[in-house]
Amino acid sequence: MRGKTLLLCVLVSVTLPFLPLMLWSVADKWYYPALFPQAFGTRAWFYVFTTAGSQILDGLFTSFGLALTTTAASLLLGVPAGRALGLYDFPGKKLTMLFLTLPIIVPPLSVSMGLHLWFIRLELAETFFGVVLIHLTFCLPYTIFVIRGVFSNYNPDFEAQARSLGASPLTVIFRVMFPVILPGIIVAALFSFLLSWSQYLSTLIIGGGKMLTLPILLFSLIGSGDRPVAGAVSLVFILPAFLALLGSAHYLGRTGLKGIR
Amino acid sequence: MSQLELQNITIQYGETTIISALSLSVENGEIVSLLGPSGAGKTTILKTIAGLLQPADGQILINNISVNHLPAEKRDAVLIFQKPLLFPFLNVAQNIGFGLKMQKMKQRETERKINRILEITELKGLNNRKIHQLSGGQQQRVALARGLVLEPAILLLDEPLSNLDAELRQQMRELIQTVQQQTGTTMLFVTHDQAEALAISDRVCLLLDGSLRQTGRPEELFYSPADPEVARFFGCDNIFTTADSFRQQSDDVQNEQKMFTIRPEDIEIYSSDQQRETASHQHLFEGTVTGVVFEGRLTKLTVKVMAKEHVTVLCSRPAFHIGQTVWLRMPEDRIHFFP
Repeated sequence: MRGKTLLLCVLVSVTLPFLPLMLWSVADKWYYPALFPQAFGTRAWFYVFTTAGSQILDGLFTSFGLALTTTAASLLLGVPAGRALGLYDFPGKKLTMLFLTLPIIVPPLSVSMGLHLWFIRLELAETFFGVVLIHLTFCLPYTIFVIRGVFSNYNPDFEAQARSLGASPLTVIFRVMFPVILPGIIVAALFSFLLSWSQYLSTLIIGGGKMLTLPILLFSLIGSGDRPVAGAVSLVFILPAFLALLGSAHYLGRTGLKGIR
Repeated sequence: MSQLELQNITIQYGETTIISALSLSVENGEIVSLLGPSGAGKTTILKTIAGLLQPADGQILINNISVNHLPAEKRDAVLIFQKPLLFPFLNVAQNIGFGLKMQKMKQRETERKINRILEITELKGLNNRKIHQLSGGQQQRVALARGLVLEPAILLLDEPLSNLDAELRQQMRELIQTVQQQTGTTMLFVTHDQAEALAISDRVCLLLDGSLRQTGRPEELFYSPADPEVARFFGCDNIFTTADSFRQQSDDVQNEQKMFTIRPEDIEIYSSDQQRETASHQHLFEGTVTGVVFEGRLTKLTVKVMAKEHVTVLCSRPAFHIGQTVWLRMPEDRIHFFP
């Protein structure tokens, strides 16, 4: 009974912030001091799916493209780096760790502003690749930290054993290392995806208004003061992230960390 | 024909030489154990044979073919580690079939081999078990089966029993011997446990300080050690020299100074009363008991003879106490002179 009450509390506190969004998205008339909308309507959703439909769809595509590319790049670079930091000792290891943490500690605005000039000079500003790079500066440290944690509990003898049983180095990576660290990879991928998905400032600065991601559209809609529409777009914005979270939670619940139930 | 031959293998970690110029051969169908204290470099040797480490010098031959240039996966040697290292994301049958899958063996043949090996290793019916559902002993058996199923020219076992408790260890040891007889697999077995090495192997190679001290049948190493260190490794502290020892009192005085040893359990010990009844008074030495340690099956006595020599004696259910005067007899045929 107590467990159920607790679960209910958690559920309510987690979903509470979304409630106003849902209400706004279906509100036609909602003035102070009314607690709930005085009139309901589908105007906002109609706007999202028809009038601004193509713009929002474009935004969804851009956001997805950016988030997926960033996640892939982040894993591609982060897994070897995390392995090196988690498994091996080398001179300058602590300093490397500190440098990798810097983009997390320093405010994103400073990082983006600082890099903006360089990106302009290197003709990376206002390009898809440039925005992926700037997203990577925030995603990569998290990926490396998660993967490093996984590898500090990793026994490389598993790989030696697989080699002795006849597996080539490449097979060892895909058939042994990968399955063992998969939970960590999923967590790291989720972090990267969500971080990139919700980037606003860095996308705006480096993208220079050319990369119209969902957060950028969202901010402009909020700025316009149309709250029902902003509420509806916010929900569209949350949905993929929420699905990604649910999917990974489902997977992690199934295998547990380290692949052992 | 020797299945495995090491010719002057030298292994280094950076600047440190772990093993220097080690030569060793394992014949077809033999169990040879590589015995040595912890940190002697035994595992390093196995890893080198398996191809996981490169020797600084020397040749490794498997089936009379040099394999120095071959990567681990191409060598006809399988290493089984101290820990079972079973892949947690695969079940028992998939773990055992891992190597066969790497060889791209056909499904039906793979299943047949897995089932046969499961039967031999007494794991029948556990095909679909998850690894975490197995006991420690079962995990170790799966690890053994995973190596055996590949029928390698040589199976390298790195202390596979050390993680098991006493009773399981005994069972597993017997299983390895049975499996070896049934499959005829050649094995190189690494251990720091002398009892284990003596019980399991056809031949024992004793590794001390990075080189092989003695190789031979278990009885040879135990009863005819090559040098005092080998004797001490097998628990024999009785190392004496003919020149300044009590043995000079005996009839056959050696002209030249020689070192000899006698196993503590071969020394006969009598109390003063028993001594009077002993038929032969020859080779009897008077001494004082200076230590009594009960070790279970046998009790370890330390006896001071002629005011300077400390002799260790092992006997069952002794009725001696510290300070007691006793008589020791060392049977001539039990005395071993070092070469």
